[in-house]
Amino acid sequence: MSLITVNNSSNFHYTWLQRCAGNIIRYGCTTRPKHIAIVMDGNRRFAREHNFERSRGHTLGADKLFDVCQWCYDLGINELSVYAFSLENLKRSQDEIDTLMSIARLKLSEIEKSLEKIHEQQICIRIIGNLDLLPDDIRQSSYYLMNETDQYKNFILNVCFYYTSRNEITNIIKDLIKGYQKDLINISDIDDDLIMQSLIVSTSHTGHLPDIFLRTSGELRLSDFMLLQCRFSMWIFADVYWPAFNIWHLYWIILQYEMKSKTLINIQNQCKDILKENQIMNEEKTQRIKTYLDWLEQQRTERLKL
Amino acid sequence: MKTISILYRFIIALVLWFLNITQWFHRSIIQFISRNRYTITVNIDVSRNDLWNINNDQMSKIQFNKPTEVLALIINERIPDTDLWKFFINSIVFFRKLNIQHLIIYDYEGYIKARETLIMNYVHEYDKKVQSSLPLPTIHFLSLIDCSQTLTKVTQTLCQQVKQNELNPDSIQIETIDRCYTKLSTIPEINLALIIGPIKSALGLHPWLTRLTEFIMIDSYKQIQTTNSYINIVQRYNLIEQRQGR
Repeated sequence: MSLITVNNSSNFHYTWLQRCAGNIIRYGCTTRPKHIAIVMDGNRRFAREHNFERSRGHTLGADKLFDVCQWCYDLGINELSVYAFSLENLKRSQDEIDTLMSIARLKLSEIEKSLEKIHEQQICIRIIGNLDLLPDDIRQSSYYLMNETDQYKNFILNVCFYYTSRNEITNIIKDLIKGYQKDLINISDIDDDLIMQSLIVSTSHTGHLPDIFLRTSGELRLSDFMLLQCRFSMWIFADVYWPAFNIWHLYWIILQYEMKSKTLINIQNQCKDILKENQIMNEEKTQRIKTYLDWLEQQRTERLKL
Repeated sequence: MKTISILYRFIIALVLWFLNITQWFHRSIIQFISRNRYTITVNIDVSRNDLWNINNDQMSKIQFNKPTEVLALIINERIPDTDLWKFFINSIVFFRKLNIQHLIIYDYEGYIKARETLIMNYVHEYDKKVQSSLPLPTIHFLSLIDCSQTLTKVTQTLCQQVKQNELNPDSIQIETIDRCYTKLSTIPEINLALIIGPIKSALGLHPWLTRLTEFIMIDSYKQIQTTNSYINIVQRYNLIEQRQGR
């Protein structure tokens, strides 16, 4: 059953070999990732290699996102965070930015047309970033989609748009300072754990941080994407341009995760224990933190309703 | 359904066993090749047992082709004490010649940080032995606790400034945080990081400072025991082009 109807295709099609391999991976792997963060890099280089126009590279990249959503959904991975547009990309030519915004408009309108299916499949779509900088129509569509789907947890797509991790962390710190000013929290309540919990309120619906950070095109950088959320994730740098990313690459990535997950999870638990050693918890502090996080969630929900 | 699930798990276990065997084989080949390279290319007056085996002639030909002042070694494996000193002295001696201003040695547990005094004693001994006049970079021995507390301290510092009316919260920008973070950590943004070990992740090294860092993955410290291997790393790094959003 297809996740979202895009490009007028009503049924998603796997070959028998893909279906067989997919079932083996879905039901055979003992530790499947639940959340993958992806930097979708390489659209322009893909277009250049195939003598396409740059805009065609970006369109193919946008189409690939929906394919990957379907593959992840079918493999039981229920959260995907993607880096669609960075605040740094504003340095590109106005022409290219306009092309990217046109593609965003097109995809948003296609998603709106499939809203019935989205409700049926209980898919949550979140747009994360500096939404005040978005063109008005895209911002309105984004808020509309987020309001319509905020309650779902079956499959979550976090699209990072006009986003950088540093911008996100700066906003978290500003919220913490406001919380401190309002006496919701004390200065001694602020620690690494509270910063991470605040981040989770804004960027993860399930509360589960990314298990895998994936970047395509062979570049070996994080490029200011989910720096805190992915600090203990498995980093995979795939040497394939995003529009050429296919299901076998995804299967390979999940197999790599399965191979190293035991060691990685041990190390993640060790890191959590190291971080917990420095934490001082008591009932009053726990209550203050709960009040603060509820206030933060309320702020986020009110921003959606604007 | 249960039988099929067991069958699928068996197939996956078989595939992973095969992959692990081929990875072990691949690692053995790399180590074998590295050993051979050691015996072929190292100068005759540098013995295998000598702690310091950086070849000065090869060094004069290699430079970074872009501003690179901050370099991190992220150690994601346990290096035995017998190899630890040699590995770090080789690294410090090599990268010092490339005008690195800050060298970060990071492991999440902090077992290398616990040996900081001993490592630095060896480095000073080496400097005396070769009468080196090159300045040492600022060497930072870090662990997860150090890196995880910095953002907390930044937030607490800004809270205090806001409380004392020295700062308006609405005026806080990325640059404000950046200045405060760099001041508290005493480290600028990291240009290049070598992740050494089987786990490909920075495991908590100053996330704020790694937004544009180039990461080079090395399966084991055993793969960088010769001048050539360090030179290969620099050449690999020199090939990379940073687009910075463009």
